[in-house]
Amino acid sequence: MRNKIILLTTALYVFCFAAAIHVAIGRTPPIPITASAPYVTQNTQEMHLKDPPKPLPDENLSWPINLSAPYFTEITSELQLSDAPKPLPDGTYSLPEIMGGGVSVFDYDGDGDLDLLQIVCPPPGKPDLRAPNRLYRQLPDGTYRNVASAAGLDDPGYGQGAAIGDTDNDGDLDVYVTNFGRDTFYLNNGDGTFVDATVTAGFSDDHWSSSAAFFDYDRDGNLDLYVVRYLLFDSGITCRSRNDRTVYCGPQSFEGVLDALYRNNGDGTFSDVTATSGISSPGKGLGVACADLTGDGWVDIYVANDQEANHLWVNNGDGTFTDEAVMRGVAFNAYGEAEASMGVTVGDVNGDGRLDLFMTHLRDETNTLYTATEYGIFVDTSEASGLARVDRGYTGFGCGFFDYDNDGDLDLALVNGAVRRGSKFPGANVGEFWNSYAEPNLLFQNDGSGVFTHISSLAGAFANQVEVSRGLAFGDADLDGDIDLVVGNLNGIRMFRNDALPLSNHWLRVRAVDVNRDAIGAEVTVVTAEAEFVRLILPGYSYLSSSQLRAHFGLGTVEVVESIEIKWPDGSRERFNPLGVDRELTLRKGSGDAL
Amino acid sequence: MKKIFLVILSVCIGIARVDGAISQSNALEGIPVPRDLALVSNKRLVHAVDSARSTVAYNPGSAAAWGRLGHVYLAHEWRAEAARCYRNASKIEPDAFRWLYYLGRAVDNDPAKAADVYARAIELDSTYAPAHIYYANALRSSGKLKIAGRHFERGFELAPRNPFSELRLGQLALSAKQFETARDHLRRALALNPKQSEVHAALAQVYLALGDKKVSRRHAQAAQLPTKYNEMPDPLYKEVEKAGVSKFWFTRRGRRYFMARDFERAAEELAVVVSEDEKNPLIWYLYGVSLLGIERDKEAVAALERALSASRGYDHQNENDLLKIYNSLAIAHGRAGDPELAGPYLQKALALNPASIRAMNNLAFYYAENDRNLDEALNLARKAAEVGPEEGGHPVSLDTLGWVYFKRENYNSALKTLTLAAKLLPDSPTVYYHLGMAYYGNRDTRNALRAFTIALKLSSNFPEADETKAMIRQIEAQ
Repeated sequence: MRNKIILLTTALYVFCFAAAIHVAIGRTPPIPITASAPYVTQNTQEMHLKDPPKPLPDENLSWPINLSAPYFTEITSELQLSDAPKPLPDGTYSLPEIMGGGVSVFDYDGDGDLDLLQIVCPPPGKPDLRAPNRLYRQLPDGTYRNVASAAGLDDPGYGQGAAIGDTDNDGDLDVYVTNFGRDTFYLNNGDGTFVDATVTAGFSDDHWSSSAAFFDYDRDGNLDLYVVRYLLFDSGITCRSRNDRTVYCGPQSFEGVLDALYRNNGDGTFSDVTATSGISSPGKGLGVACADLTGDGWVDIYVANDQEANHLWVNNGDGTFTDEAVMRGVAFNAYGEAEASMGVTVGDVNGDGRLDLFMTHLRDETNTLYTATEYGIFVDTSEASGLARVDRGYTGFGCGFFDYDNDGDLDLALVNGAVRRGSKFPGANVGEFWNSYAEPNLLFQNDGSGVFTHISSLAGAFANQVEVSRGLAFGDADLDGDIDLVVGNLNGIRMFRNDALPLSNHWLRVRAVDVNRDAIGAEVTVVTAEAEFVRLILPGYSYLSSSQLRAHFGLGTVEVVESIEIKWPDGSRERFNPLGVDRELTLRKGSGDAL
Repeated sequence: MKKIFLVILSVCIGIARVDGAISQSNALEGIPVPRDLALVSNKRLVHAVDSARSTVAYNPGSAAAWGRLGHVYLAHEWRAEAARCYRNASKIEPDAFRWLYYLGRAVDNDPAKAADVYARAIELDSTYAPAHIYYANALRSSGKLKIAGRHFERGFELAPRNPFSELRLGQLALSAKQFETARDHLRRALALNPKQSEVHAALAQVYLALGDKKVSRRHAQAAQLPTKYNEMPDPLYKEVEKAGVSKFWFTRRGRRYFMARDFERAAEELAVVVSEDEKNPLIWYLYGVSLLGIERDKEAVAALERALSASRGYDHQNENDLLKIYNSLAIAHGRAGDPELAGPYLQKALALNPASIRAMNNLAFYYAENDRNLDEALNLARKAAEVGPEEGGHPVSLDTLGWVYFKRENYNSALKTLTLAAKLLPDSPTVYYHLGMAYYGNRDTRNALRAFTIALKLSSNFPEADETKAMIRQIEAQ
């Protein structure tokens, strides 16, 4: 009998082991990069000075401007936003305690300014402690007050992130909160309060959800939901490094799990259509971005998986999806290796009209920029873009393309924080335990062709504060025409005001409204005599975070916009005649000229 | 007087010891030591570091001593300290290629620095293929694609059976949008290793760009499968691996030997891991199966029982892992002389996954071997045998079905099924033994003898060899 059974079992052993063995691999800490490191090769101030001075938008500003002023100023305490970040208790090497920290910026009460939602997870060692999320309402004087309890948005679960969108087309924004545990769906009552509609809407997700995004995949005018799930965590598994110290387990120690796609039925309920939609490959997902990456007019789903092939779920237009990540070159890096993908963002970095992808990775891996080619495939241009020379020493999470100086191209900000113990970076001051994980954040300036210069030394507090950062959201919180940053750290939230002072640069912000709600997924093209700029109405990208529901255009010195074209989520196109620059425009579907 | 002498002697010895300690301490100064070594609780690792440092202290002019310390550091991811050691070794032996090569490996998380070091190494010896490939990787990461391509080519010339060079050349061509060139390189890489997922991933992109979506999709699917070979043959780096004394390394080496079916060495390495309060059921499982492989059956039973108990502590038990443990436990009990204990594990395996071909086959065979539940055995064996290879079926199920028929004395069906099994598994002596028994049951002694003879030709010591020989003797005596 024995050899008979062995015959069959040994034939199968080989297939089972490769994925099953889990041993944590410790990595050497990177060489710290200080603010004085010679990475800045392009003098960005000189570039601004080439432009003639323009009338100042704010009479409080004076000319000449202070060129040594940092581009981002921390205003967390000034705005009474949150308590000062407190030192965390030492970690207990339980993976969920280092993965949370999502932040969202959205106008929950419809008063025209941006409010903030901080997703909170319990402190290390106390996984069962209630950790209510915080909703910071922006007051008329620009300061913030936590109104989560009064608004009913104080979900006490083991928080991770959130997706924001108007799911019932009633003109206000609803919130889906992802947790390590049961997720919660909050319907906005339109009066500044929310109601927990998880059960009535038909959600029953109690996995470890990470990022989530609303989008309309079936073009029925209702926002559907994609929920990324991380892995099947097992608290009984402990991991050690190559030099036998206890470490946080990597994803390879756990089983992956299927993500979930929920179809909005249009009657306040959602149906789990994961199985019928063809979303069939489990992963260990952390980031998601939903956009038309194949150029066929249908919105696709890109999922960043941790140490596994990423997924590009291409929308077949019939309610089903096919994973084409490998074929299209966005599953692995240029070496064919699966990387530890965390955050993901999408945008046209080289002005060719095609959407490119960027995602953040682990220390000792580069972050990856996938540039779209005319062949429908993406090429890993991380090295050629100049990004890889800098970011190999960091573990990136939240990220986003944004035009910080309104010069017309998409720059890049990303926040970092290790998951493996490393050398202490200068300036880290978050307690001895966490100092080994704290990393500075990074800011890169695009030269317009998809080549980036590292300008963190000019980024001020955004890059100087060395913490364990996770979430990153983008929005013009002070409504001054440039994009501010909100960072979610393991130990709290921080807001950074954009003070980059692009005095000569113009901007335009577009709110695209379909029926009664922001048209998530709309592609907005601003046409000028010099160039065309393509931006998306896309709040769900980065890591666990949701950003402002607007398409923001830096226009450089362009003062005249010839037209604005919108490709709506249902595939229809319209052209609008603009009404000047340096303002926000609300463009409603059906009010433009059909194309 | 004697007492005084003893006191003086002990004082002298004490002084000598202190002096020795001081000189030892002085000698260790300047020899790199990781800052966090004090936090390492693994005494074996601390000892390995201390021992390698002491060797350097006593032989500061020995490049080999510095190199050995470098290996210990590099194996345990203390890269900065490893780099210092290799630099010192290289200063002592400036003409030695290997120290610069190791230095390159130690700093290869900084591609620009690594490229510089590899370039110097290659000046000393340009015949080591991995050096060219790692150099090319570093150059590529530094954006020097043209020179990188040249060194990938050189790597290929030096080691034409190494699929990495062709793969990298294909990837370089792909990124330069030279799709035909990329396809040619990648197809050659695929010929060298048909199961390297990176090659399939690149080919999927190439074919998509060339407009062949069908072939592209095929490669995309193949790319999702685990690569069967992803380590570059690198004898020099093996020395670093040997210096690994943490659990990680014992596990890695154990696993590697296991995959190579070298169960003796696998068991040796894994024994170290399990001796340290190992809680991972898969490590216990690997250890148990390795012990089975070297016929330490009773120890295998104990190890596999540990695997089973450890797996209960897991929140999310992996069904496949449990299946493997149950099946192995059944085998181990059978071989340890307790076949009656095997049955319940096989039943548990089937209960865990009633659709498991493996579980069905094994339980059917168990019933047949023990002449019990032959109806159920037939039912299970039929189900297992009906599953084709594309759905996970295995021809060994045909053998089981044939054997069940034999036990039920349905010799015609047994012959039919076992003839097909022998066709599909021509190298299996057990199948021929079963076939011989079926012929014998059918009173066809001539073909039975033929089948038994083939079985013994295939292997003279397979588990049923004694029974086979006995049958031959019996037939010849007739």
